Amino acid sequence: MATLELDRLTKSFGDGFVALDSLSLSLASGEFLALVGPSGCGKSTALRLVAGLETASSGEVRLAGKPLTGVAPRDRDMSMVFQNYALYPQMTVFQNIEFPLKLRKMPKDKRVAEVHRVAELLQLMTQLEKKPAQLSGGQRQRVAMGRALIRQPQLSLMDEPLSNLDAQLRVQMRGDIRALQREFRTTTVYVTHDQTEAMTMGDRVAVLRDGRLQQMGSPEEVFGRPKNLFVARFIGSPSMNLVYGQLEQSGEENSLRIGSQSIKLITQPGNQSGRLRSHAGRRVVVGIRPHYLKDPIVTPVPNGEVIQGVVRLRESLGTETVLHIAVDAERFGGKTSSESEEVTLANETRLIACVDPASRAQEGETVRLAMEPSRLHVFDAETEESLL
Amino acid sequence: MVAGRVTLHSALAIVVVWSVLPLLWTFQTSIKFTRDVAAREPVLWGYDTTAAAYRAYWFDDQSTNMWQVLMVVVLSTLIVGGLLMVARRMRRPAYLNTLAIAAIVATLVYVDMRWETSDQFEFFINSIIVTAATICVSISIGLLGGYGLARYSGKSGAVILISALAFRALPRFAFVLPFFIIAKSLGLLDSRAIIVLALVAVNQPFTIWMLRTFFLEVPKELEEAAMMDGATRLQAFVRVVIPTMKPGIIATSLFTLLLAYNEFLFVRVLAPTNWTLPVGIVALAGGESSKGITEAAAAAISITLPIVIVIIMFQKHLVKGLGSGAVKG
Repeated sequence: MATLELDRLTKSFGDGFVALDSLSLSLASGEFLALVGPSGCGKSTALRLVAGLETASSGEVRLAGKPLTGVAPRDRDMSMVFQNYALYPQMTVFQNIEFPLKLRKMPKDKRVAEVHRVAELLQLMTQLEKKPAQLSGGQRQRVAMGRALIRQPQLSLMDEPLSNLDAQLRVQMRGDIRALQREFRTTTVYVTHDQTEAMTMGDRVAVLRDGRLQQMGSPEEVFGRPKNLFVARFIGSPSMNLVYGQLEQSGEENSLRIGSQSIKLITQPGNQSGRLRSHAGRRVVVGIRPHYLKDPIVTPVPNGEVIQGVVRLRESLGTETVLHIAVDAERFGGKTSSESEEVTLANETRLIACVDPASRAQEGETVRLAMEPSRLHVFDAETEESLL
Repeated sequence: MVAGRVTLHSALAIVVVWSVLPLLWTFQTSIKFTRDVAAREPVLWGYDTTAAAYRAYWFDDQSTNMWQVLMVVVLSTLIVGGLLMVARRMRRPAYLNTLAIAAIVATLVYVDMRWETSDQFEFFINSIIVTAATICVSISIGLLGGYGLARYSGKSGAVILISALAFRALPRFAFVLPFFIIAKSLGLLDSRAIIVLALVAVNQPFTIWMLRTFFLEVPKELEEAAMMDGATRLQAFVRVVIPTMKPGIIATSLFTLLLAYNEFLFVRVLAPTNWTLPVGIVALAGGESSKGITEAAAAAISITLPIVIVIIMFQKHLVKGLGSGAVKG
């Protein structure tokens, strides 16, 4: 249990590729950080630099205030769970979990007691004599966890430990890992490409893209106040609807013109409305999350703003109904268009709305969708930074 | 379907007969009397059998009781085979393997003391020592070199690998004279050490290449996990990586064994008198007299048998080695 600081950590390779660009962040003792981003964003590199498996080009890692530059992985007092588990194939489950203690020359009887304690915790008691090849994916994952848990390290590192499991098991292990971490209060860095995993597990979430930190904060912060378009799109499922609009101002009132429609924008007091004001009359990107677009007939939104469109597709998921709505607006593709999931056959802009299943909206029908103006996000179309 | 299978199987049967026939013929020759071997019409069955050829090959004392020798050999084979069989089922087979090796050595010493053995017996001992030493040295260097070249991907690594391959591709004759001069100036001529040295040098590119392809299949995370668990680089290599390499080590050892055991040229040139079996057999087969034929056949069978036993024991690994290491790489 210790604090962890990364100070302008940079990793570049011989061919000039910068995998990690000046990453600085700090973790309180016992905190669980989810490091999330698309593949190739540098999150695994960051983890390997912390572990000491790779050498940083510049910057440093400090654990409990002590700089770790030049310290070998074995002397860093960290544990690591690998994506492919990296279990020792020739050893039994028992020997796998025992290995870290054996290297520390702990006496035999104590080792056995420790292994049994961890195996009990992870429900591996009946598997101890098996080899890793005889285990299921979930069991292997638990053995890898056991090997990391057996000694209480100062820092626990996890590199996409759940990505090889099936969906159901993943949800269960998500909870189990969190429960174990809460019990031992081990400072943890958890790398994942799955934003759901990051949001559900992390005390804080750090979003990485192209080796740069985009935003770091609590899941609520990252979801509710994304700093830029990348974070806005990456966090949340389905991802945020983004269209171009025009920011208009009359007196104290801001409004957004989206195609032929106009909606009022309410800025909360204490907000940086100055940035909004300076963008008056300019092109911006407007964002609204699918779950905040409602069918006002079944879910009235007091003081809501309304946008109109034609239902192209209706998908019933049971707990909610997803509407694909064609609106008169220009879709934001942006620099990140290759990462976006939207696939539209027709050359039109569609909004996704997750509405109450009681909604009677039918395909082909023109509907009105209501939203609270405070749920709107506005971004600079050029810099992609949030204006709120 | 069925017709296809019949065709396939009969084709394979022909190949099997084709390959096994010479061996059977040699075996038959080795247990015949000279008069049957030299007969104008080949005597295919109903002939009298004798162990005289084997006696002549292995022993100087021609009154040696070959039944007793056979009993010692069979007994020793059973003991060694049994020990290895049990060892395979145990978790820690190391001491049983050692015991098996001790049993082999004890048998050889016993045979040497009990009967008056010929020069060929000395050559057989030489063969065993040279082969074992070549395997040990070659595999040790190959493990370190193969591991290094598997994990290091820089330019100089590629240069080393390619030049090793080029060295291997040169004809054996190209090195034999330089080795002779080196041996002579070191005063190592006619010693087992120089044969081992030469064979290791010739075989090294192969072991490095083959072990490297096996190392490439060991995920890097395995050593990294070991290092995170608190191992030094050497501990990670010895305790985690090497044990996963067992099939690769056995397969590479078998290929090295075949090379060292069958080597003729280097032994003939570097050791004027201190031969191994392949050189010894040539001395027998050289003559034209029909008397030598049975003994040469007995020699051929005697040489082949140990290798056949070893290959049968490890054939599972050999196939694995061919499949994953040598061919695919």
